[in-house]
Formats: sequence, structure tokens, C-alpha cells
Amino acid sequence: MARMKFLCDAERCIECNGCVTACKNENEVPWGINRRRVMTLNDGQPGEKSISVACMHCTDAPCAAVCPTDCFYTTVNGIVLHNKDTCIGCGYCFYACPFGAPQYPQEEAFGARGKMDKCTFCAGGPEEDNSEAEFTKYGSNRIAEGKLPACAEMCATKALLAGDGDMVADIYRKRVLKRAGRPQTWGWGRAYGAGLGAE
Amino acid sequence: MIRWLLRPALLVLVLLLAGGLAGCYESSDVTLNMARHEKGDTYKGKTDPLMAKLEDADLQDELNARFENQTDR
Repeated sequence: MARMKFLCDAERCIECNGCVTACKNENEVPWGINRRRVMTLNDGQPGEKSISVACMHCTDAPCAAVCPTDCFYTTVNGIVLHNKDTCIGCGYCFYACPFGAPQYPQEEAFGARGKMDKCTFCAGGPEEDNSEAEFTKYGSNRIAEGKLPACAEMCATKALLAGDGDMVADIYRKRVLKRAGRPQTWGWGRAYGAGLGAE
Repeated sequence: MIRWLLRPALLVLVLLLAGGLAGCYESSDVTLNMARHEKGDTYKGKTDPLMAKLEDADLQDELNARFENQTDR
């Protein structure tokens, strides 16, 4: 059985935020919640790198391990989903997650949070597939329709890949090999010299 | 003279302090029960209908075929 994974190719991501927009549009994510974010390392410096980050659908998800109400479940192909009816908004998963994926819709007096929201790999939740209830709580269920997450499918530079982990790894490996064999005929190093060290 | 008076007072103070702090320590014998979390076994909510659909090989083939769109043009 396939294991669904995301992979963001930092060499290709141009920080266009198309994936963030696609996710928001597809799932009608409310204001203040970002299921996906684009992070830039060394922002503004030559050689900066951007990566698109969301729930990484961990094989042994720490969010699931710490959840006091056991509201997480994993599908047969490794997508980590949660049940908002069971979630109590305690925030433990937020502290456990190394990617900052869990989001909370509101901040009220005494630190009260709403139900946790996160990337579902466009696979909805435990409600009837593509029902009104599922869309309201979890957003779109593209997986049930045989489609992959909107963020990856919309990525203009194909930096963000989503699908079977083996297939994703295979594509990335080919790209790395191709890059390694490319003659250094262009790029920052060639244009501006080695002083910038941006290549 | 004062030194002789302070000595028992100091002793009483030390005894009171020791008595007051008795039991105020944290045990370092922490037992981590790592065996409690069994992946996938703890969820007790309603079953996602998607689970049954994902068992279907055709859907997986459809998803894999869809993935071809993500390869380079």
C-alpha cells in the first residue's frame, strides 16, 4: 500500500504562495488559519531558499501520541486525519508537532481555543465523503474523488510534490542526479563571481 | 555573650528549616510508559468512509495516474 507524502523541492520553490492560496480556496480555510505556509530561509540574502510547510502526515505522528482524547487516526495510505467532534482544543498536538501544523480558529478569554484544524491532504474527515458536514468541518475531500491535494497540483514550478512516497522520492532522486550533472554555465556563481557564494 | 545566645537560636532556625523542607523534593525516578500509545489503536471515533474506499486498488491507481501530472512537463 502506498504511503502518501509531501515533498517540497527547495531548489524549485519560488515563494509564490500559490500552494497557500490553492489550499485556502479549495478548503475555504477561515481567516487566521494557514494549513500551509511558505517559509523562507536567509530571506533577502543571495541564495535564499523557500519551502512550503504543512502537516507532513508523519508515520508515527507525535500529535496522535499526545492527544488526550485520541481524536487522530491514520488512513491505510498514511494520511493523518482527526475528528473535530472529539477534539477539545487543548493544544497538546500543537506543542508536539515539529512543523507547527495544528492551527486553532480562535483565541478567547482564558486561552480557550476552538477545534484544531490542520492539513488533511485534501482527504476530509470522518464524515460522509464530500458531504456538506465534511466540507464545513474539514474542507474538500479530493482523495475520495481520485485527486491529489490542490496545493501540489497547483504548484507552477512542480516544487511541491504530493503522492505515493516512493514515486515522490523517485522524481526527487532523478532531479538531484540531473542537477549534479548540469554544467555550471549559468547561475549566481557564474554571473556575479564566487564572492557571493550563492550557488 | 551575644554569641552564646545566638548559637541555640541558629540551631533552632536550622532545625525548623530542615523540618519545614522535609518532603519538599521531586523524585527523579520518572517512569515513562511508552508502551501506552499504540499507533492507530487508540482512535474511538466514528469510522471514516474513506478508509473503505482506499482499500480499492482502482482508486490507488487513479491517484498514481494523477501523480504523473506533477512530473516535469
